[in-house]
Amino acid sequence: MNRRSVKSTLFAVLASGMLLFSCTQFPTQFGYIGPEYVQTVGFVFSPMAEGAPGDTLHLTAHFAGQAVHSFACSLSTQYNLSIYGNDTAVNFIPLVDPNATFGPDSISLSFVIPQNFFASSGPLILAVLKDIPDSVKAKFNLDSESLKSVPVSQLPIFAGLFLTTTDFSKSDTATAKMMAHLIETLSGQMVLHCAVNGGYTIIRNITVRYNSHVRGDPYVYINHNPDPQWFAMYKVKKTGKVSYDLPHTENDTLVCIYKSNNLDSSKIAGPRLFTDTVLIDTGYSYYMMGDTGIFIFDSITPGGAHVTATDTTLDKSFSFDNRITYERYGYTWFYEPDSTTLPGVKPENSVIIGNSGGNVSQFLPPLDTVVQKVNLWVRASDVSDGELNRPVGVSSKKLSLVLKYTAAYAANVQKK
Amino acid sequence: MLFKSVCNVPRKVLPLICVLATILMGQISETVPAKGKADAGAAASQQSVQQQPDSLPAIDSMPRLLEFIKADYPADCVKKGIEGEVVLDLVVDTLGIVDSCAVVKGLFPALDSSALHTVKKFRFRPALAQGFPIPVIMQYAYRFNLDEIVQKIQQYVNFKGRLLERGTRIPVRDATVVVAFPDSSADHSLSIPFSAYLKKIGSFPNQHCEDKTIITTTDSLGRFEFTSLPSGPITVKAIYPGYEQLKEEERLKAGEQTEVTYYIQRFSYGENEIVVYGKAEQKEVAKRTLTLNEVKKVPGFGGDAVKVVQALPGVARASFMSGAIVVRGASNADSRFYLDGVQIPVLFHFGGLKSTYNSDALESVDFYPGGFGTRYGDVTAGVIEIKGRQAKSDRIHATIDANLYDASFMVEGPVTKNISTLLTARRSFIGDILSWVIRKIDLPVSVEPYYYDYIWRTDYTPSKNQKFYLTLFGSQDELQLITRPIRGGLPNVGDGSDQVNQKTFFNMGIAGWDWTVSPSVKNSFTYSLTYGDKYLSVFNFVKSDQRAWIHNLRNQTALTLSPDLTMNVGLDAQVYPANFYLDMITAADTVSKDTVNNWVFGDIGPYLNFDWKPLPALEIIPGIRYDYYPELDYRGGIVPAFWDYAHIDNHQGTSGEPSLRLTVKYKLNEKHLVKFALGNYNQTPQPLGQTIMEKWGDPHLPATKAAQYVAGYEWTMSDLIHTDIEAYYNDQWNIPRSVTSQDIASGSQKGFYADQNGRMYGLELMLKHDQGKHFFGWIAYSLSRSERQDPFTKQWSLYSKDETHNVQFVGSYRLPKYWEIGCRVRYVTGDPTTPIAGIGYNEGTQTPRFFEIFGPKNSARLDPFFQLDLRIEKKFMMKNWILTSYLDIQDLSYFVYKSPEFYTYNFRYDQNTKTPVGAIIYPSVGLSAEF
Repeated sequence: MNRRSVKSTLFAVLASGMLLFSCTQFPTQFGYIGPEYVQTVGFVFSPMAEGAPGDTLHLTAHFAGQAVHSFACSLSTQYNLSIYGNDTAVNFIPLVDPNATFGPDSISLSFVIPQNFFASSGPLILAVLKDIPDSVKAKFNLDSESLKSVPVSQLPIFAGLFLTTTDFSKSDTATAKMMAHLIETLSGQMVLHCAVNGGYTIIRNITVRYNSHVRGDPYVYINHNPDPQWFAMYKVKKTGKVSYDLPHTENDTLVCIYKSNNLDSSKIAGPRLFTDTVLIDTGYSYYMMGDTGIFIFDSITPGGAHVTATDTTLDKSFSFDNRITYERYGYTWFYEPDSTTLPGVKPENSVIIGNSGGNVSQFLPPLDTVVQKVNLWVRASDVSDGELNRPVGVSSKKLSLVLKYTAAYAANVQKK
Repeated sequence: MLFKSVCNVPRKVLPLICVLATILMGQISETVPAKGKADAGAAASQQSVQQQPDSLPAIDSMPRLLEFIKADYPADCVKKGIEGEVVLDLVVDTLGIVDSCAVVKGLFPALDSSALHTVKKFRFRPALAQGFPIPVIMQYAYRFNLDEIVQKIQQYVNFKGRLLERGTRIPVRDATVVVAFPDSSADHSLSIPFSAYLKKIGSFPNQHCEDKTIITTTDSLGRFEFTSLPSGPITVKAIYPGYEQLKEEERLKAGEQTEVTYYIQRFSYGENEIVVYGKAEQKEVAKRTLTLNEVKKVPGFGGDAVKVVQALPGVARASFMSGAIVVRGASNADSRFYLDGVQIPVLFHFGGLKSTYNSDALESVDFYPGGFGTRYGDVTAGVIEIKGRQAKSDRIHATIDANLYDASFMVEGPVTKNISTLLTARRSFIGDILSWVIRKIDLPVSVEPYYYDYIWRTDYTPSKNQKFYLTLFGSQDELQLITRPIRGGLPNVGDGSDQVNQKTFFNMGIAGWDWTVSPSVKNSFTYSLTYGDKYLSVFNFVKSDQRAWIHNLRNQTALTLSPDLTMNVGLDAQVYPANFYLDMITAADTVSKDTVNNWVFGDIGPYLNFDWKPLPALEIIPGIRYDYYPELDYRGGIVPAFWDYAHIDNHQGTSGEPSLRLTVKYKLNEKHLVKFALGNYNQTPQPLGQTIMEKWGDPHLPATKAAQYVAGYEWTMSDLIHTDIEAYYNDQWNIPRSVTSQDIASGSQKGFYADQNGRMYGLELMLKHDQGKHFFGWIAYSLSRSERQDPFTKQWSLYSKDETHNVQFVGSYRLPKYWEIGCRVRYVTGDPTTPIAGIGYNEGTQTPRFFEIFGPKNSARLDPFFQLDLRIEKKFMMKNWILTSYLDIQDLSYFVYKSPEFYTYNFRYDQNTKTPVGAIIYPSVGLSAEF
């Protein structure tokens, strides 16, 4: 056994052990789009990723792969959250929208969030109200005696009216925070079930809260769907390391395959090309990237230095426990070889993108150099800390990537 | 005619003639002494030939020797070993003087001549006839005897030594030591024949002669010595049953003492290290005792004696890397683990890799799968009690051991005449190896798991009636995983976004005092103080810390009231104020902080039992016990509960429960025994603490209760083969369960309910072959069923560790030259599992993923579990130490069958990607040196 094989064996043994301890993700074909499956690319709600009771939300569900020929959706408004965070949705009701449409790669429908969504939240609201000092309540004419006269069952309606009709812009900081807490308490989640082509069930949580109707409270946040400004392939000279968190060098290249028209391209860091064509060569590692939503600059930190943050224009950063919490973007990549190169390419010989959930995902170039073009769908989602029942904003975008190969790569690559 | 001629002779010689005539006629009335004595004192009895002719005057007395003269024994005759009698005719006259003599029967010319000349000098009292001296002719046999020469051999020890067991240096007592003499002519100084010399020295104290060898035996210290061995080459053999024959060559020098030390090898070094199962005198119906360390050789357990419990009937297969002891279908948390009578916080290091108490320092492991007496409380399933052994006091012993996972050392020996001590410590280095390899191959993570443990035990025995011991025992397990930063959480919650830290440690001191107050009163006292800490930090999501100072006290007094009746009264108490800290991220990304200080937990358990033998074959052990739990806040029972007495109000007591237990054993004959046991049991709700916290559980939960019924039969089939069969039925109720969505939907604010029931029943068989010359092993079979009842639907479903069949074969065979090979084969029904009924896709998270939609809980089973373990051991015997090497391979069958712990699928849970994941081949190679 030579040194290399010893090393490989050790690695194999260790990798098995590591699985027990770490959450390391290895590239799979999760994102591979084939004709035998309906691949869900993204459920996008508009006008935003949340709604209040009585609001109408519009769903556009994007699919790839097998064409959509049937679907059935249902909605549960009884979403139980246990003390351990375990969730159980019960009592699903079929969702009927006479104006719903669907095509081979999408479903479009609208629905209204039930007005009585918070009907059972009376005791919870009562408990929160007890924690608010009378002096604060008095500012909003919420004296304790009058509150006592409101039946607990009617408190959710009362609270909803209060929150959506009150202007909090003149509140002091303490009051604004208290109201924000009340608003946060009055939040919940619905669950949407959607079965496409009679296959697997897709579930999607939908946050219901009044945030988007609250006026003048800077501590109440609204979550919009993410709006990535650019996508790129990061081509890194191999140095024997498998980590992508490297201070990039002049040997590394950022190939920008999409850029928002609003983006000043000079703010994308590092050596960069604006093209949809990538030259695949030996001796390089490849990563698919998108902006993090935090910085106009990318998260690549030249020389390891931290660049000054600039908030995105959509969702505000906010302070929690004396620290700034930013909304961050993460991406899920779906891919298929262009139809011009199909059939005849095995999935394992096509590209593989290992979805990490972050803004950087490992890209394994094709083992079959017949693949000249890859169709990509990228699902962007946002995440932030510090909010109860924070909605997940989602957007999706279709891209394409043209692959060229150096002679060295073509000569060395071996198909499975 | 002859008579006539005699009558014609002169009167003076008549008697002489008469004597001769009588001899010729064969009428000698008194025989010639066969062997004369050479000393004068014995001369009188040397000879004398008497006759009384019928027709002659009666001879009153024959001549009596008055003066014996010793004949010259020529040296060359002595050396040649010529001895015997020279028979002479003597004519003794009336004055008692030998008038003439002649050799009648010669021996050797020189001796004949010497005798002839010597007897002439003899003086006799003449023969008398009718009162007058008369001359007679008589025969006299002069005996030349070497004994006289031999008597002069001096006794002196010129060869001595010690016989020790090779490797262990244990003295071998009562061994036979044989000295043979390949060259009998080597010692020229011997004045007598060699054989005569041996014969003579063979008569010396503590040695004897047999077949031209001199033989002795060793004393209690293995010492032996030989007296007056001839110089020259000797061959020494030492013989003792169970040992190889020792043969050594030595050369003894004249005038010098030779001292040697011999080392004799045992055929096997496990003779005393046997497993006893249902054989030793025991009170419990289902007590299974693993004594000493033969069990260390059971394959698949890496030399860990405590883990061998998992190969006994009644214990479910532990999941890979769990080490959980699941007894008769109950939860692991329902069993308790004791060391010398007091509970220990942690029985196994992480992953169940090794027990925390080093097996080298063990005396025995007792396993009680159920139906045990009132000695134990706060338990509803089984008990494992390990007993530390007394430090050796004969000499200093040392052991070092290193294997693939850890290394240890042990030193023990006497300090003073009454005090002995034992110290052992062990540390794993698998984590260090793992970290080194990770660095070498540059993985973006770092894992550093390690454990250590130590034992320091000191024994003080001031008298045969009193024994004291003090044990310091500690253990630590620590795991640190460092990886890329994980998003989420809050920085003030965990140790960092890039690491997971887990640490469990405890240090305990145990003081014990065994006192035989009088023949009828014995007292055993144990007190321990333990400090334990469990710490966990998971990235920035969770940080928890649990700390406690644990006091344990056990005192038991045994009073022998009559030869048939013994009363045991005891107190088993555990009290500890505990501190809990828990910070965790909630679903709302806020921090949930829980802090509890000085929350007093424990169990105060007085108990009483009797051991009564109304008949020689019948033994009845009734007992009562009460367990008080200070941490609970509910009304406990006042009547021992064997089932949920729903129709009567039994809940009128304090926060505790009474227990009643009974054991009956009846010996049908020497080979057959039947036994029965029943009892009720209880314990504080598990998981400890969490179930009764205001926030996470219900502070008013009652104790969990159980009733156990056991019937068994033991059959001693032969000296080596034993069978034990037991059937059992166990009930459990008030089992805590987590709140369900159904509870939440109905407005529940509790985290736990104690409304779950459980039932377990089964049959167990143990067929064991004790250690024979070559083989020991057993077959353990458990047929069982364990179920839990849904509190809402009242439907019974399988418990997650229900295993219908659990068959294990364990065997070990000794081969020549200290090779030993063993194997363990295990077949277990697959654990219940919840099947995948459908596939879902969660689109509502940052990272979408497929997920399983499960069917009815535990309505399917994993594929069966099969495992083959192999152990090969070889000892190398040195004079003063033993080197043992071993290879212990767990799950050698991995290459042909992969036993599942669970299944993995691809990201889409496609059934065609179902892959079993479970135990992997798990080798351990080790070296151990004992000095």
